[in-house]
Amino acid sequence: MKDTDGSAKEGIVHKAIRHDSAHKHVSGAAKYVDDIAVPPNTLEILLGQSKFAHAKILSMDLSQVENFPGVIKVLTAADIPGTNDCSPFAGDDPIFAENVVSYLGQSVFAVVAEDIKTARNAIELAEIKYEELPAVINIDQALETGNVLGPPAVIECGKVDQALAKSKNKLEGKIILGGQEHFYLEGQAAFAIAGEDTDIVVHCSTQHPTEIQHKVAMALGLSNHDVTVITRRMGGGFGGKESQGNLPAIVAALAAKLTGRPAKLIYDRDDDFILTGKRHDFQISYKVGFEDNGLINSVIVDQAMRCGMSWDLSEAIAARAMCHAENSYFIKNMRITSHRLKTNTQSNTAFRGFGGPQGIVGMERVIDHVAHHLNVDPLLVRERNFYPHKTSATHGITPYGQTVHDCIIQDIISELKKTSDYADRRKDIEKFNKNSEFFKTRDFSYSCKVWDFLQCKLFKPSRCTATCLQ
Amino acid sequence: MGQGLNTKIAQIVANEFQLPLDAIKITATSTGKVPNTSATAASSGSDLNGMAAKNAAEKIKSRMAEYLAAEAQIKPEAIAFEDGMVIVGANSYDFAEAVRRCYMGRISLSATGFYSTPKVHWDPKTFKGRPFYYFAYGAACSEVALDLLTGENRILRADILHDVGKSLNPAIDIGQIEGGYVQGAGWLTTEELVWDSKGKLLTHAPSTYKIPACSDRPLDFRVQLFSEGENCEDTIHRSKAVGEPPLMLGTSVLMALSHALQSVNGSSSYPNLNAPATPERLLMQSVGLDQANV
Amino acid sequence: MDTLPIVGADGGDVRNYLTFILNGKTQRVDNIAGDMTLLKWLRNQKSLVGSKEGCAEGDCGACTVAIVKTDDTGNLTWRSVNACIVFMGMLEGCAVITVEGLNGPDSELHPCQKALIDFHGSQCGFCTPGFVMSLFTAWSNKHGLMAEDIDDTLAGNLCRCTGYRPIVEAGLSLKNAKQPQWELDRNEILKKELLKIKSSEPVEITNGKNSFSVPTNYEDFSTTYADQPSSTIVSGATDIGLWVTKQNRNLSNMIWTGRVKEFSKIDQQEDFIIIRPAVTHQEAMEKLGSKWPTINALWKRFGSVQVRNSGTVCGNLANGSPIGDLPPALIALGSLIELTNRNKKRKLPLEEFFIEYGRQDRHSGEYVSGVFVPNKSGNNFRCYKLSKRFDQDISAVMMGANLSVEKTKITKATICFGGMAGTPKRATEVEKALLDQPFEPQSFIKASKNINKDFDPLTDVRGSADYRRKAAQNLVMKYGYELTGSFVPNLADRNQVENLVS
Repeated sequence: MKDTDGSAKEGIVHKAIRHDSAHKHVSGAAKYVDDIAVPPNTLEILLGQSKFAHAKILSMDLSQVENFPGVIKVLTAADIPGTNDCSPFAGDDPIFAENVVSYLGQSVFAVVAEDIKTARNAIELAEIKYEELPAVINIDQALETGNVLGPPAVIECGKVDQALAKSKNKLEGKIILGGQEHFYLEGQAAFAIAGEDTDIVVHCSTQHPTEIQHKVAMALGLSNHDVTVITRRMGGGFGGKESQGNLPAIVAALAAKLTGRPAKLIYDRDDDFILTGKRHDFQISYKVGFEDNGLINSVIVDQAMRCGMSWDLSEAIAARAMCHAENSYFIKNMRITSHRLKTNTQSNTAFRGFGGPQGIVGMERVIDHVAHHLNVDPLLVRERNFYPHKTSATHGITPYGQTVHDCIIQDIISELKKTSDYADRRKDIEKFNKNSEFFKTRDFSYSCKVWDFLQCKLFKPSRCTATCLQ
Repeated sequence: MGQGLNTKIAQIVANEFQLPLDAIKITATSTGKVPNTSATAASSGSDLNGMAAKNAAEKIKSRMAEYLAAEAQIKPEAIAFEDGMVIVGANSYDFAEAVRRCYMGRISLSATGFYSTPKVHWDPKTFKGRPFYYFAYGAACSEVALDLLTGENRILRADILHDVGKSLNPAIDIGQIEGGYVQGAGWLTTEELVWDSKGKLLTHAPSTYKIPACSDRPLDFRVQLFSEGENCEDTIHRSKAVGEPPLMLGTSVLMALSHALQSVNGSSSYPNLNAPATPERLLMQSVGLDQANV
Repeated sequence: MDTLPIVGADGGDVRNYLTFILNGKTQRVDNIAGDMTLLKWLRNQKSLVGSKEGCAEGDCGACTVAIVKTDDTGNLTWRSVNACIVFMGMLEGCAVITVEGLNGPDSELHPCQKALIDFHGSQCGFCTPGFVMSLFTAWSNKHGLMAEDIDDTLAGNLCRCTGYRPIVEAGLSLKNAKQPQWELDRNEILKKELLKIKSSEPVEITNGKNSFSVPTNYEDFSTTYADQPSSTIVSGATDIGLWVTKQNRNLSNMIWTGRVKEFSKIDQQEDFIIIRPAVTHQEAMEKLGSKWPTINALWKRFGSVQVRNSGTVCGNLANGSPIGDLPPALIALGSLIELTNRNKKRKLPLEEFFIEYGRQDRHSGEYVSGVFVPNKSGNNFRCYKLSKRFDQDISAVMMGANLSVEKTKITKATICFGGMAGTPKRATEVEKALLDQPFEPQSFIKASKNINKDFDPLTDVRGSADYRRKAAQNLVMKYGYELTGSFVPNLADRNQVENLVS
């Protein structure tokens, strides 16, 4: 047998092959969960949502909803045979809120009806009495009241305070970064069919079929092997379907189980926005000490992040933000502190980059600020501080202790400077800006180092690392 | 996740068997078929699944080779998979025929592959370790235009050079880079989430929450893969993950806008631009600068 | 059900079913809720699930389909629309083509579909059918696939994966693609089929709870509405569609303007261009846009092609939104609005129509029957729209401005804003400050300070009060700079921006 990595041709890898489903995408034949032909007796589900960010549930009268013609069942926490939790690991995300609601829009109950229009009409008849509690909405309020999910986490290397004190120049500042909605074009979607014995099959749009399998089993009080989860494709996920698909899948499965009829739960766009977590918004404060030549001696970064009402994946995301906080710069003395703030808002979740982008923007801001102070092209400050090239005699070590032995950022920057015609364009733009009163353009080269993926194993040991394909 | 993962896996498997791509069938992921998977997340899709698929294909190949070699009374090393054929000494069978022979010979023709990333470790108490197998590198250069009377802005040109190791599929990788850059730029410019003081999300539909539209892409958009890229770690065909990294290239847009504010005539204080840098934030920031210099 | 029977002009009864063509097959649809949307019907009744629901409000384009009609000369005209907010009754007499209806014999893909594959234009694929249909309507209309208009063609389709570049290139490649013979043949057949179902009969469909009336002439429409003033007039449904899909409102009777033959006209008189109730933004844009490039540029940023193909000018005004894009522009032009109750008509200046937030000068039984845009407004008319995103966004601040200059002095000024008050409103203090002033930037800079006297805007998700004030002041200045010849390129205009690329 020949080794295909060696002598045999690698004709088909490294080639610009078209997407395997492209012909189905363009002809409308690619099927997503809501496109599956369902049996005519399929039920549709709508979630009843909290009207307050933080409140005690005093009473819940859903009898009118239940009696509405076309409503087959109303589901509340009391209907859950297993565990009332849809969190990825921390156990703090109720499927249906009990006693207390923790964000505005939280799932409190579900209406299972012949069709979605019926469910919409019925849901308005719910009578829930709340007693409002003080709510913590944003980062400032959470910092003020000390509302945290866990104690601050710290990564530190070198002699941070000493190096800062000894630096010729010092700056401090802060950047506020908003969150981001995933806006996958296909909303969260799940379709469940109960089979024989205790079997249940759930089709859903998820990045994590295995987790859904386990969470459905937990909630329904079944064994994992009773549950089969099938995902053909997603209409976008971007991290928003790593843990956020658990809730609709569980509720659809629960409805199918309790009614004996197939059941479907598709979030419409508004519900999707209001129910699901997003990219964490951050406030990043920094102190930096540096020399006149742009060399950065010491950086202290405080990352305050809005996690929302529960952990979800925030612990790992915080760690990833911390592990990206120096970006591709070799900062010998650095302290990164992460404040994982609890707020009465959607539980923020994975989003492409998983905290990394926030960490990186924080460092790029530091570089930009330093360059402004020194009145030099930020690219000079960047180049001054890059991790040593992979061919260097010594390699840099990250604040968390990993040796960076594969650094090629210098090669990339030098090539990009040429291909983008950086120097000449920069001159042109400076000239333009001097002459333009109302109109500014400015270019800028930016570098990043970005990471592999392993935070999930590291922070969620319950998950198996195996993966395979037929 | 489906943006390109399945295609890459199909390529990897086709390559193992040296079959045309249309011989590979992609089906739904099912926990009934493959239990205990990781999430398709953290850019790990191709790294993990690619290696696992290769591992599974190798198992089948070696079983086939062993059987066909024994049948022909030659050494398994002499069996080769080439151009849709299986070469068995002086004979060669088309793939289907080779499979039929193995089937008749009662050889298992399905396999499960497994892969776990080597070399990584992490101590969650001390926050030290090697959490990453390797790093991906890239850079972007963005040029923007900013209207100081209104805060409106455009990305005029973006030059990107990004390292995906040895690309498994340049078209898909460039797609990820372009899409990631635009998504990152959107995060930092027009995509603004607003909650009211009661915790109600006021931006809950595309009418109020603005992801980049077609005309928001850079007018001149030049994306290249780093041609010398090759993962120094033994990843699948020496490629690197591409899902998440390029999003961070969008940071260059925020920084370019910051620069545009810094070049306001006569300004000296640092603009402290926050994100998303909406037209409103940019206008008010520039006004602040003006006032600071009066 | 207390619906009055509608009597056709010829005295005949109203037809109680719809006739239209779906992917080449004639459909007869009856007993259907008046508020049934095309997307729901396609997906649930016809199992055509290629058209996707991404937002149910006409903002993402994943449900885009083509609506085909014949024009006066018998040629086919193609419009892309968002099926999520098209009511079934609006299909009477049309052909609908969905993504499933594009391919040729033996499932050969259409050139638009092939192009998207070749240029790697799909990743997750969910938005792709919508993009295909937007490209397809442009292709069929032979307009919208050039570099200068492709962004406009695609502005109504959101994609979260690709960053758009490959989709744009796929679109641009189509100008060199050959139209397959089977498509030419198919279009010929479609023309004939459309002729066959052509009728002038009024139609009303209902499921016994929700009805949708499709009158065909002005008398019928006026009478029906005057008799049932509680019913809802629907024009393009780009807003009313959302009442159903987003607000779960129950609209028991709807009356549609779209098939009333007198309503689809743009009348050109000596003093006025008259836009009737069923005239879409796209149609009005083509007429008025050539006269005033500034309003053409504004219209291009009005929703998207899909929205402009459905939404109407009169509907936009009747709706009374304080943030509508058009009222400030039309007010700056000195437009009048015409209201009709049965046969009684009255006209008033458009600005007087807007009384306060949510209230317009429209009596029970009255409807907006036309907008009269003065034909002779000068060269100094300009529109400025500020929004978070250039395309497909609602304005935070919108300014329409016009002025007359005689001998270097400003002799008349009309400056109107949207987004600054509960209604579209003129900046009278700014106008006063401009009067009799020299026609130079300094006059505008001075006058702009009066914005604070004119307006006390609100803070909402589109902008803070402070921003609105500052931006409005700056727009007055920008207007002054632009008219007096300073370099103030408009970033919304792609062609101007291209010149800036270094």
